[in-house]
Amino acid sequence: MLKLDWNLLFTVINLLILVGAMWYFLFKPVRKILEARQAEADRENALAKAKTAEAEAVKARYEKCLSDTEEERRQIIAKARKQADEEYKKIVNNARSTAKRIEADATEDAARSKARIVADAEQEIADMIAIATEKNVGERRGAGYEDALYEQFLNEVAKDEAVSEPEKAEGETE
Amino acid sequence: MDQLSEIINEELEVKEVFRIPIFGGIPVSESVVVTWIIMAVLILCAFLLTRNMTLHNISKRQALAEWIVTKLSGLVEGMVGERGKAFVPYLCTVMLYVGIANISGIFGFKAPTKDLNVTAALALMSIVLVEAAGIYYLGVRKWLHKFTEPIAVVTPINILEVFTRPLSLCMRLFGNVVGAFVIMELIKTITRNILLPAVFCLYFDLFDGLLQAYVFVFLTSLYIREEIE
Amino acid sequence: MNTTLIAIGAGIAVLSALGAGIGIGIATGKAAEAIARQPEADGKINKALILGCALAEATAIYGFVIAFLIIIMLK
Repeated sequence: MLKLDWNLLFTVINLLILVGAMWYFLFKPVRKILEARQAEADRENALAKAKTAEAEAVKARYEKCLSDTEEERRQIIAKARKQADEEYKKIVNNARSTAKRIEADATEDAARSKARIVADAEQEIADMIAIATEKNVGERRGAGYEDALYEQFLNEVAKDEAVSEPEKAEGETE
Repeated sequence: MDQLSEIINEELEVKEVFRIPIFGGIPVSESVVVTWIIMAVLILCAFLLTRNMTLHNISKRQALAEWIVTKLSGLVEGMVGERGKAFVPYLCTVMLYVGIANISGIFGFKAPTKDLNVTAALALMSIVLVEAAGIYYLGVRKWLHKFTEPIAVVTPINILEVFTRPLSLCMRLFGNVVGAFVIMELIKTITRNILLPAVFCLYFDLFDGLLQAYVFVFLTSLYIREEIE
Repeated sequence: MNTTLIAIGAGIAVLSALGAGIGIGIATGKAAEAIARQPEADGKINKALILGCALAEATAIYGFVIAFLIIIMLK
């Protein structure tokens, strides 16, 4: 047990073979597997990171889109409001001018009909005066006749006025 | 007492198993044959454990192989340091071999580490590895310069260390195994019951055997680390 | 006569166990102190202690080996 001989060399060779075999059969394959797993984990990690970044980008785009839509909505509303305002003003102006025109028309109408009525009345008064004068001249007999004449004249005036009054009111309401 | 010394002598004597019929016959001792058996067992285990390895859905075999490799590598790497990573497989293999060789007495073999040839070979390989690592990592000039550190006076001691280190490695392992064996034989002889030897066997054969394997690798990696850093 | 001298020599060689005993005793005492001071570090302390004991034991082992050699060689 205490002498050194050839067996020392054998043991060295044995050990070298054992180290090589263990490297080939145990350490190399296991390390390969571990490294492959590590690489896969790294890859998956990178992939997950990329996915996250992508999702972030999509989210940012969506948010931008949302804010854009909001802006657009606001613009549309503002535009619509402006348009409506304009429309409203236009309509109101229209209506106002129409009313003015109608009023003017009505005033003109009323003035014309008044003038006509006045002219008519003057004509009639003139006619009546003519008739009265004719009658006065023709039948200057008895006091009773004059009274009857006055009566007749007043009646006629009253009738005229009753006719011309509603005509005038109608023209104003239009 | 005569009987005891006879047993011890017989057990410690390394028998010649056969002769290789060249150069007038080279004797092959029992320790080499047991080493072959241990090698065969280790390689077979490694081969069976790492067969059909997959990336996913690993089997129990693969899990065991990965566990062994990761744990052993982590343990040795902690001792040899980051720079000595290249030596990890060698040191792991030596640890496995010495550990199994030390406890092979339990399985009825004659432990190869009881043969001075085996421990001397291990120590020789260790010191060659240490110096080779020094030359490889530092270059010849720096490696030579390291002998004069920290001061030039200690150069003889440093050179002497190249020889005392493997000697101490070799003798420590050998002495521990032989000592444990002799003590176990003594206990077996003086006690008649089975319980006491069983308890001491746990300490001397199993614990001490594995501890010496660890110490051997620890010292080797310490020398390597010291040399390359 | 011869055998007696061999036995005496072997016995003297084994005296180196003294150093190992003292060393392991000191190491264990210090480890106990360290654990008392820092109970949470007992794993590391235990590891260092066992390693140190194994290394200190080596001197006793050397003595044993020398004694053994004396007996075997000079018998």
